[in-house]
Amino acid sequence: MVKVYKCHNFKSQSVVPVDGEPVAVFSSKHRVFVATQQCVIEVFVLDEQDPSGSKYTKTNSFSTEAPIEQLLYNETGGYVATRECKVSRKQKFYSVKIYLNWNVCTEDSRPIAHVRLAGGNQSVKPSNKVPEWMDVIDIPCKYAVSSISTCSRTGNLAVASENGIYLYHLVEKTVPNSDNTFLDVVLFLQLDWSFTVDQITLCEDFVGVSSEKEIQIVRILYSDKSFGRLAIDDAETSRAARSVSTESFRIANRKTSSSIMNPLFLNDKDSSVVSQFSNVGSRSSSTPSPALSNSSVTKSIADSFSCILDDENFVQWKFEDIDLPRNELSGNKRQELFRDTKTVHLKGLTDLMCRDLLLADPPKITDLRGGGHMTFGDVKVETLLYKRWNIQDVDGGWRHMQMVPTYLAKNERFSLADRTGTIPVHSSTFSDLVGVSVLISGDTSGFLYSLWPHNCLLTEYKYTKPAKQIWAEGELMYVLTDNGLETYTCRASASAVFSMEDYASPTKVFPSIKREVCLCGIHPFIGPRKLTVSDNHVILLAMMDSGARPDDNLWSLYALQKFSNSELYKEMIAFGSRYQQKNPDTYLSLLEEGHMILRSAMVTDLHGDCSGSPNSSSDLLQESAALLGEFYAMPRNMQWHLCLPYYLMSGLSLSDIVRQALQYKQHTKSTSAYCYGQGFLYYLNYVLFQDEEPFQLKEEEGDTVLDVCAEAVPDKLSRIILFSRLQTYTQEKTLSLLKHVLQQKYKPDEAKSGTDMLALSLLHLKSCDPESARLALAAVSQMELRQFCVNHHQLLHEDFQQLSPLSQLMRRHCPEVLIQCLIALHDIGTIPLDLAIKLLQGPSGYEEIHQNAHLKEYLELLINDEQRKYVFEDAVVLLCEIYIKCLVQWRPPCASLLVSPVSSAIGHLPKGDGHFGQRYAWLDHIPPLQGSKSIRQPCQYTITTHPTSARRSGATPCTQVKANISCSCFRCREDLLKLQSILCSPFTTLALVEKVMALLEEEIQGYDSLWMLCMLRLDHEKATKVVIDKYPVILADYGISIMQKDITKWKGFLNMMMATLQQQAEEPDQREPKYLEGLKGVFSWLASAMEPADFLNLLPGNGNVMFFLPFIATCYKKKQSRKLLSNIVTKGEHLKNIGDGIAMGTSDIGRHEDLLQGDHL
Amino acid sequence: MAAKAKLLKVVLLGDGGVGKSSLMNRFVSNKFDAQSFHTIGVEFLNKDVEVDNELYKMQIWDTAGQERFKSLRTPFYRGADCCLLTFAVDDVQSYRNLGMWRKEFLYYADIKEGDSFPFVIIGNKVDVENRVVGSEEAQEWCHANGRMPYFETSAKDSTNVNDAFRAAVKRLKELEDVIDSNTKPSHGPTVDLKRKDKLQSSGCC
Repeated sequence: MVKVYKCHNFKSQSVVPVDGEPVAVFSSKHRVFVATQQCVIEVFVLDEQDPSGSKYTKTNSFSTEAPIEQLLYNETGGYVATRECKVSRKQKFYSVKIYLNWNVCTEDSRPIAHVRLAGGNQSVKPSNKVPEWMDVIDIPCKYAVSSISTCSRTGNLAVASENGIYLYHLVEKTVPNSDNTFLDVVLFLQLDWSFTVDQITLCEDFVGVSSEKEIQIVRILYSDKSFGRLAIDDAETSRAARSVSTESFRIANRKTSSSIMNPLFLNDKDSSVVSQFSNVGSRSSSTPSPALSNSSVTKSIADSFSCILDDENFVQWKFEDIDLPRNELSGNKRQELFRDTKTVHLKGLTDLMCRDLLLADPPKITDLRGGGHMTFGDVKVETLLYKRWNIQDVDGGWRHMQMVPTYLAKNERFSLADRTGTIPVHSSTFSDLVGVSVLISGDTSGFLYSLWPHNCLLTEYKYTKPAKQIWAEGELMYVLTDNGLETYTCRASASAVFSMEDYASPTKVFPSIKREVCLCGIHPFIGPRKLTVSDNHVILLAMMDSGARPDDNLWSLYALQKFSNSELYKEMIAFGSRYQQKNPDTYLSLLEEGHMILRSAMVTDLHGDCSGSPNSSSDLLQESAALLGEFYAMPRNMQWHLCLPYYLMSGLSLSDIVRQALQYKQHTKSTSAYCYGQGFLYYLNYVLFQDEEPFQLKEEEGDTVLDVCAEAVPDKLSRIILFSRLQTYTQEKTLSLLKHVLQQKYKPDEAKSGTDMLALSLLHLKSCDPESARLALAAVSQMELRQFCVNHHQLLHEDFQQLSPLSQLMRRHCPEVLIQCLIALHDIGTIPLDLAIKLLQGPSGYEEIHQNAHLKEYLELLINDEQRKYVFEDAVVLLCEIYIKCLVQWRPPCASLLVSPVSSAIGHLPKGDGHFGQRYAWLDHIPPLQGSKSIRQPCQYTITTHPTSARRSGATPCTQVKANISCSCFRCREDLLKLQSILCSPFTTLALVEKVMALLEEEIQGYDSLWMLCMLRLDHEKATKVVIDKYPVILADYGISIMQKDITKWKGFLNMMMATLQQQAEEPDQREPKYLEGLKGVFSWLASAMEPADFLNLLPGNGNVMFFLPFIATCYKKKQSRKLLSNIVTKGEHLKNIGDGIAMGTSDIGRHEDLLQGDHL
Repeated sequence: MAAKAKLLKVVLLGDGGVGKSSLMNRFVSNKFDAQSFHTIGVEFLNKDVEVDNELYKMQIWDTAGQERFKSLRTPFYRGADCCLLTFAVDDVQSYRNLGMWRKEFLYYADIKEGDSFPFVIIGNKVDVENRVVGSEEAQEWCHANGRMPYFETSAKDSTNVNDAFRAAVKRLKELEDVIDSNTKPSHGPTVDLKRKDKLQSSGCC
């Protein structure tokens, strides 16, 4: 169906009388060419100075050889091409002529026409700077020429004669032995069809031919290798790639659809493939075809690419699966299985268009590049569209055919010289080609098909009268009938622009390109005969029948100036707006048409005004998107989901859109929340929670938005306050709004959700009411709070600069949740270590860092997991610094700090697989620690009156601080213990140890232990020496934990001990028994852990045998015990294996008997 | 509005240097250039003439006479309505070659019945003093070869040039009348596409 909306007009109109009887007309940009029966072509040029904008004046006129049947002008080649037919002596002589420098002929001067044959090179006249002749190239044709066509971008010419079409390209040749160049037309391809070609159309590598009953559109595909060679080179690849696209009309990706042949096409046994070239060397010629020159060979290789495409129509047939155990399956599953295996769904065949393709005969190809002496390269064609005339009405057959390409706009003028590729059917702007459509039409109905990148029927047209001539453009289509001119909307550009994007996202949209087209203008004319369209004008030739004699007819050239796309859009919207209320469908139809026109123009229109002036195309596009957004935002709109993408495209701010919605509400006087359409709510929901920067709104605007939200989506108000991009609003107003919403939502005694309470807390905080905020926050479970904060980290900080008020509140009342959130945010990469430190540290300086318990807690938690190993280096160093600072400034606790001394004293080191290692047991015996028990005891500094005794005595329980004692409870020595733990960790690095060593001060409590732990890494002998000298009581534990089974270390250790004992023998002191005890402990462990040989080796040479003998005996006993144990285990396993063997029937009787007779335990 | 003129394709043939281009230029532009360069390939100019109250657009095809340009000129003979065979009266060889030119034309123009094709013979350069081809001799040759009209011209001083070209139109008309009378029903002037089309379209049923 075609909708009729009369909203198209022309900007201006001028009429020019034409002498003689025009037989053909063609326009291009600012020129109009009119061929008359007097064998003259008259050229009219647009007078750009004229204010009317449509005044054409005759500037040139030149003679043609014979009467013209068809006239074309090619802007790229700058030539006029004519199809001529001369009758002489009852014979018809057909030819196609190329008039190259026709512009040398003016009204006053018609220089001689120098004619030469296409493809020759000897008849070029000596070149002067200003030629005194018109250069004409003759393409002689043996048979009738039915049609010619040129490609506006490549400058190529196609000639249709009988069943064949001949493709020529314009090439620049050099005159032999001279620097002079000239243009020539060279035949490069011949296609022979199965039917007589009446019409031809050419565009880049797309060729369309039609007869009365058939239309066939093909694409010419060139390959830079011959198919034979490709077959050998790529056989393996071909075998591997089972799914290869052979249908370019299915190709979705523009970049993969080059006309350069996919080498894998060779699998296709298509008879149209030509591999005809002999091995004759390429002939040296002054007129090499682009594909033959050396440079072009290189380019050819560089330009070409081959790619394997997944064929979306690929279906794997698994015949072996048909023999299924049918009885085992039942119900739906069985049906499904059999349906899938027995029915082959060939996706392509389900499409009517693809079925038509099966009827098409591919044309026979003759590649004539290089004059038949090509040595490489191949060409084939691929049918994209084939239609037979089967319309059951009075129409007789196909009458019109036109290709409509869509290119990206570029402000570059293309010319023949720009052509750099080696594919003769590709222009220099081929890469800018974004879509190709074709209009095919009978007398009263037409069809617009998209050929590429998608192959589909776009729209169908019905004309009010039989069409004499049709001209389709990107956005509009003009149909000339006996009554005048009809203008329809055309979706060629829209289809191309549509295919440039992926619309999977809900934020992208394009109006339906298959929407019914509009007949938007009907302009009556008297005696319209011919139609042609240039960039800015529609040119109409009309004849006024003024008398009996044909010679008396008056011919006029109407130049109708087109409105720009922007103006056309405005006309459409103005027309549509009149029907906005009464007929929304009309309004929508025109809105979408207008939107498509503007959107296409933005991409494809060279003349589109994108300058930023108030009415520039981009502004209008935004306006159009806003109108569409508004339309879909209306209540009860079924396609409400389209509101969002259009509103986003409109560039309107949130407050603008909300204001619009409010205005609509006021306009409809609705008091219900349903006055807001679902589309509007969808938009609100999307933009408010979009992961973007907060809105820059004024407070009043924010309040308005919240008002609307409270009315439209009251359930989401808390989430909007908490998590949305809306952050500017009046606190008090919002608080009362929220309270009101909560009153409506909950019964008085009903528990409120965590979100609502958190929102309430936040608003209280912003209103400087921390107590109310705390109470509200307390109502939120810690787990929920943690979840909120981790999912919406912006709650915790103010633009990553400082902790938010909510964080401060959490820090005060539930710091562990805050720390856990920061850790979780660190783990997901939102708040890295340095930022967390910055946030927790706040404005306080580095000097007070050790007083920041939350920072310490954060770092401890952070390093207590091996998975965060990558931050150990930074975090651990800082933590060690904090510990050492704490140790340096350690003071016995005072009463005010001790809340519950008993419970606080019993703590524990972090448990995990992180950087907190297992402390050596001997560390518990180095002061200020006094053994492991002392760590677990309550703090000795404090005495707490027991509540019971206090009640008994009538006093209140209290805590007092004792002076002058040393306590080694966990609470008092927590930092030391943790630092020791860090240094005992296997993750401890030398750098860390060096850093700690540098920070250690001898005055700090626990210096010795820390020094020893560091020295164990740096120089363990020094540590050992200190242990021997100062802490003989831990000798055994120390030696065992440090030396383990390292004989060399033991030797050194024992030597040092023996030397000390020797010294003690000479000058004994009170440490001697401790040394002996330590030595016994060491040898006792060594005797049980070492092999006798090693043990004996470790014994000092000058030792007392009686002292060491018990240890030696123990060592041997231990060894025998281990051996016996091993023996038992081996025999047991042997027995088990035999048992297993018997069970499996492979018993070895002989071996069994051996076992029974053999030596046993 | 101007009356419709019939288009006539007239081919000028003859040895190189006999003055074909000069004749064309004199006829079309009424100009003469003594230093003109030899023609390369083929060129044409149009001139509207009125003969017997009928308008004709004469399309004069000037060709290169040199042998080396044979392949460039011969393709353009087809579709010719009449042919002017030219020689220079001071160049006996160019006169002797007239037969060869006629033969070449008929062959490449694919004309089966050469006798009925309108040729006009032009003996150019009558202004020169050392004339070697006599008028009677030339006329005899024309008579012997189908009674072709013969004109002695001088492009230099414009002697007989217009008459010679007009004679070509007249000759064409004469021969067409003969053909028409021989082949009934009459199809009218050969070049009238419209009339022919009408006849064809009306003759199908």
